[in-house]
Amino acid sequence: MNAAMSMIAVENLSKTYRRAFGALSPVKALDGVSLTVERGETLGIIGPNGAGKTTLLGCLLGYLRSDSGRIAIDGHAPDDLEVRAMTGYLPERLVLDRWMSGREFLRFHHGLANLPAASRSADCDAALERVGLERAAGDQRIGRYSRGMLQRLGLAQALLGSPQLLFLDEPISGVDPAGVLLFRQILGDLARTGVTILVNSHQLAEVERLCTHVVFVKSGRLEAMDTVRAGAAHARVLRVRMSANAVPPDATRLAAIAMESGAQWKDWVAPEARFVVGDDAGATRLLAGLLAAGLPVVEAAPEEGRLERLFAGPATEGR
Amino acid sequence: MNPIHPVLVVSFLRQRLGSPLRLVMLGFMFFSSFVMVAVTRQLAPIAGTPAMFALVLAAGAIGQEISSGVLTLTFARPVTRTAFVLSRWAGAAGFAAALGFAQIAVGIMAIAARGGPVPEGGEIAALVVECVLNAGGAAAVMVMLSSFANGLGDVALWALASVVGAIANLAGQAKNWPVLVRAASELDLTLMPKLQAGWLFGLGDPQVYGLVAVLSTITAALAVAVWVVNRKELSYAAG
Repeated sequence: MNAAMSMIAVENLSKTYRRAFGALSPVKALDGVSLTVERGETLGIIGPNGAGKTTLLGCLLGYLRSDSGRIAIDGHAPDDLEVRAMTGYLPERLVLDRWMSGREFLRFHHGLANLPAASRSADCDAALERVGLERAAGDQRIGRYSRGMLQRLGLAQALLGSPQLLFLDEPISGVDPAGVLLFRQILGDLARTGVTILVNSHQLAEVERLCTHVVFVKSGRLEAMDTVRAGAAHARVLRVRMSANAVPPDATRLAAIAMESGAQWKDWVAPEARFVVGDDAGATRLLAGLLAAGLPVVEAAPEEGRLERLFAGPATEGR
Repeated sequence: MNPIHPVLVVSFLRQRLGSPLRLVMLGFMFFSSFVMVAVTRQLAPIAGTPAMFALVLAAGAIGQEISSGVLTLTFARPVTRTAFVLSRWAGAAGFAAALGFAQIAVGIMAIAARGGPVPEGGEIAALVVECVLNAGGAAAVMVMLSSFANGLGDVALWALASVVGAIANLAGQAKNWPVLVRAASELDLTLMPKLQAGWLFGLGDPQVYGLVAVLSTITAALAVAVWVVNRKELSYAAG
């Protein structure tokens, strides 16, 4: 592993699906995509259906051949066996050998990963435990697994061998709430230990929780690439809840306080007032103004997630 | 890197032998030829069965995996596609040959039990060689066809080619066209490579062409399968 090199470097990547016999026109799935992912970053890939997110992941995994452009993963081609040895992958459509038990499936992948046979049983048991699958579930045939159990098993196989790079395609799809919390914890722990993680997801809130960086893909193009924190700098609607026991504030008064702090009052639906603030500093000024005016503020929260604000422009253009 | 991955071979055989239909077919072939051996008190009826075992074991070896989507996870591991194809072939050919060896052993015991003439060493050695080459040839052809077609489309391709060969053979004989008859014969030998190996052990005239034909069929079929699988794009998005 070359520490000075970016973990993933994509330059001007294009990919077109050509239909057999020319029956349908070719579909350009990726159009000149360039991006860099540094070691230890957790990158979320978001975008509408058919935007090219899965195609991008397919190219990064070496499953799809690009028309043009270049991909380097740790300085190697994506289908290089060295890259595969350090990569874990959880696909969106998890299709597993139904005749195997969960434990056999993990042992199979442990063997394919060329991990030491001596530690196979212990590693597989530990992986099952890590994703919250009980010993009995490990002995059960995969054909009898629920959707959520399959997803947990898929994550367990992706984590075999302590990969340095993880590709996760809709990782929490079909997972129960307890599983979502566990997935968050596992992925958070991995990110803290320096694992580079790529998450392809439609769930903006989840990407916001997990990722340090995001790219927005639309019509095969990279529309934006930014840090998740950048979303905080954008204008947003702030919901401010007042104590239900207090006297409802006067609308004129709310509008005046907002104007003084550079914000804009939108409406009052008891017990919440909504304001538009320009940025983090604007939010601080508004809250200070409300408190200084003696209003019983008990809670303030943005109306939408930071990613929604960050990509509100590109995400809604042309729809 | 080893071109045949033991983990892939073992999992492939476990998958194949987990299918009740395949087990019934293999069992039927095994015991029906054994009955023929017991009745005729000769090992000759065994000669063709290893290739049939190989066809049953190798059917869908690649196509079923590609259409199911299982391969996206397998190829995320440090496994070459060449190793995947060769491991599938080795699993099918190896197990078919092993079944053939078992048939030979059981057949010899049956002949001895029925008071028949116990085959000599050269005849047994020739059968063992035929077992390996015929199983290897049939498995290679099926693996190649499986790389062309999803699911069990390889079985349909094999059956279609067999029918075409039979029709060409009949037409060639009816019209007295030796070229067509020869072409049909070559097609038949390509679909089901056969070798009479007795000459290797001093029994009969040398058949070098037959040996080269079987070995070249195996090589060419596997080379084509590897090429096709290496060119395949793996993604539901690839449609």
